[in-house]
Amino acid sequence: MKQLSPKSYETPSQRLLDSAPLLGCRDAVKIFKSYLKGGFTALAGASISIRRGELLALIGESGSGKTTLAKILAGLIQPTSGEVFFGDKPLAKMGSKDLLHFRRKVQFVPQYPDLALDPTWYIYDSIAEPLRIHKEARTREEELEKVRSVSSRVGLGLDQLRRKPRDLSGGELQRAVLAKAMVLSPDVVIADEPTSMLDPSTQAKIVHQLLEAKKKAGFAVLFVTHDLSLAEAISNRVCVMLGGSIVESGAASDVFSSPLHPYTLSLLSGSASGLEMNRGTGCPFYSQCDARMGACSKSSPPEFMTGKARSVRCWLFGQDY
Amino acid sequence: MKRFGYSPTGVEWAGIALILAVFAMALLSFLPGGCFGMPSSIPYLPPSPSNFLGTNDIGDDVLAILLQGSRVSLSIGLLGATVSTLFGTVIGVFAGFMGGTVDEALGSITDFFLVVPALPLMILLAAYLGPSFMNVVMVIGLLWWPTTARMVRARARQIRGSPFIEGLMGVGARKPYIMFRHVLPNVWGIVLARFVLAVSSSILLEAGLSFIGLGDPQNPSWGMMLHFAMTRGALLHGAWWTFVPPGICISFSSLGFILIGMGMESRYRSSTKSIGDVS
Repeated sequence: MKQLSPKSYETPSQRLLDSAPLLGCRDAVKIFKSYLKGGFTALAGASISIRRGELLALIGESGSGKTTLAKILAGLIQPTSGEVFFGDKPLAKMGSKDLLHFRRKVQFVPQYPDLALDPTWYIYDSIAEPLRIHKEARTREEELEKVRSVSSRVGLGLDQLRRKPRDLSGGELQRAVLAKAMVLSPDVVIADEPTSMLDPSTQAKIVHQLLEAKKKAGFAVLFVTHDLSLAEAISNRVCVMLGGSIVESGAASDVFSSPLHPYTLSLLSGSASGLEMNRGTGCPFYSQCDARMGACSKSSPPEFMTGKARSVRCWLFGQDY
Repeated sequence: MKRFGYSPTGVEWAGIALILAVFAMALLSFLPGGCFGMPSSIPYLPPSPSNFLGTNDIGDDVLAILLQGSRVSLSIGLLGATVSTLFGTVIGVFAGFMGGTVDEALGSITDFFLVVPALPLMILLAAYLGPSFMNVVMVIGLLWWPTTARMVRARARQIRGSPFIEGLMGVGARKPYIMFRHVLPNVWGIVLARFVLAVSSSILLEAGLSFIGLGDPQNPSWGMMLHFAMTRGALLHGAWWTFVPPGICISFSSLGFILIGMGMESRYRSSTKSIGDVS
């Protein structure tokens, strides 16, 4: 098996960075109802865009809002405010036909493979189900052919297809979930920590198969992870999340080699603690930042563009400083 | 049988009751007097070779009535359980899956029926609708669903929060499709267990209603036998054979179904621990 190493896959090409966003959101805010006064803010104005064919890694610590953002992009939950768009159309204004097209073209891979498939259904039926919902296969033979093709792409044999979820291992289940996500030939696959529940050797196999499938089918991947080395190894671009917003984004090589935001720096050095972040006004990293200034506590910094496809939310890079 | 989690004793007792009910007519033909037992005009004749369980107040063979009653009691038990389970499952799945206002509204209706004392209401309804086989079934069915609805709702809600349902919504599956194809198969185990328990409850309720005289006199059940024994002086005559056999039949058949239902419920709980609300 091909070993994963930094930059063993693609590097961002100029064409990729210049292409129009396929899926994204602008200023997405998500406030969950809770016993806290005013609810719990999981997303505080996150903006992200995924381009055709790229692998975008969304990194950050637990509780930073990665899964919420991923689910909002997949159309699984509605943002409290802000806009999600697919192509040039906002999701909120889509008619049922466009929405069905969106559901076909954007697929979500959840975090827990053992809970991602109906325990009463056979694996074959679970993988074939999206085809049946969208009437993509005219005959049983066509359905069988499509399911077999996509299953073999992720390393699932006929033997596994005949079983139920309880009879498969964690790795096999994750392959089945990936096959289900890919069976409709999507444009974007949003994978929410797809390997976090697996052992390291299975993780590498699954990631390898996902990347091989991506290479063949050409879909874009939003890879949500807190595994920084994995993100560095496989992604074209990286977005770093903290306190419900994206604090830094750019080409993976740039972000990992020369991080701009003080939080990214501490995340990469392993000293970050998102649990102690500032949830009031100002920068979420204010209380831990060594380079904090007066402006940091007063207002949340806007997005500053520091180069082509490179942005950071830090007053250090503001024009006034 | 232990493999399925059922109680062997429960299966035996409920099985005997069902066999009695299904083959009642065939068994009756083996009696010395045919389908109606050995004719005798002598009331309260004690058990003898010609009348195995003696005779009742009008000289009818008690064993013959007991066998005929098994059909009535178990038919009402099964039909009442079917109606109540069907009603409870539909409401439970709908409330649990839809959530929000629908859940709150259906939950309030369920709570109302849970807190209203069922037996007095059943007596009222049975008295108002009049004594007939189908009325007894409907009364039991319409008032015995809240517990099933509660349990099914809790399970449906748990399934609603599981990632595979979220994934299906993401793929574009419609809510009715998800309810029928995914939620219902996943609550099926608990529905089946509740059905078996409801059969037992229905047998007891029917016996209760018949005992106080609200059953169908055209179709004498085990409960109706107890009613006649009570009202026609069997106790005064010391004719124990008129009320002990139906009492035993009611107790053992309902206990049999209870044991099976409890076994199924505990097996179902242990087999579904893996599906949790992790979203």
